[in-house]
Amino acid sequence: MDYDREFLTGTVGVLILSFLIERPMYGYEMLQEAERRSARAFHLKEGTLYPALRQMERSGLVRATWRESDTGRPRKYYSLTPKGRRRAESKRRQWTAISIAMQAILGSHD
Amino acid sequence: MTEHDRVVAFVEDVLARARVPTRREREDLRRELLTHFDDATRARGSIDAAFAEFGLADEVASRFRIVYRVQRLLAHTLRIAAGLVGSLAVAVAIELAASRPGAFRGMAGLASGIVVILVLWRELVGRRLRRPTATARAACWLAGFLTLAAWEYGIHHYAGIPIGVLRAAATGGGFVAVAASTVIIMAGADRAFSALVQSHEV
Repeated sequence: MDYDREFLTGTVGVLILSFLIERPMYGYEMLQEAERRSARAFHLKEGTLYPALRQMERSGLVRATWRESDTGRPRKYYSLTPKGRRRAESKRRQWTAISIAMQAILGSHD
Repeated sequence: MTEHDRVVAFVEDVLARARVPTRREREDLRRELLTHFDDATRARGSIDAAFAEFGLADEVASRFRIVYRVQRLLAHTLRIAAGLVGSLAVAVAIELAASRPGAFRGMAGLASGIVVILVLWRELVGRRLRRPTATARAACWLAGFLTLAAWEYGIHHYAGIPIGVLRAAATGGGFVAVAASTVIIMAGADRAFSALVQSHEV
């Protein structure tokens, strides 16, 4: 199914926060995780991820460090700051509520 | 052109269009994007597929420009202020050395004009993808010197004020000193600003 990529762009921040609440990740790892978990249905323009990460870094939601990955290659790993963790939990609650509400609305037309 | 060259050219294009304000951030972003394309090329199977998934350079750069807009504005202000102060100081020094009372006002105006043009050129046109060679840089400075010396000679003759070739050349040299000090000050301001705004460890 083709999604409206502009619609998905608005969810990039939530995606990043959701992934990083689990563990630190590097940019491409997040893109792969998004594809894997959505069975390749959720597919971002990859170039939208990095400006979003920079914005969140500047806002103090994430911090970044360069270190070696499991393969031995250096990667820029992002992790949540305490402020980012609070934001992630808040966003998760909001999206769960919105999702339930949208499901109720859309479901009522079936 | 090898695949690596294509990636490097694309990343440099994004960086130039994004106008990331500090050198350290540019280096960090360059490294991260090169790593991304390394991963994406392996995962997608081809460099063309990696480019297609990434998006257009201009679209991505415009998102980066939004991220850095406040920092860029501050950097512009700092560079312009430093450039103006530096150029005026040099203009005063030249005026004192030449001991020409009353001539400072015009010189300061032209010196400020040179500074503003240099700063706007740097900020609006953006940074060059490749550094010019030493010969090209020398040629630029020589052309600037000749233009300014000719301008001084011509404007004085037009106004009916006698000025010799040597004196016009000396004044042109003074303006080149102003331009050189501006470039040096802007580079210094860039480094100082980089150190100022980088509070996190990368």
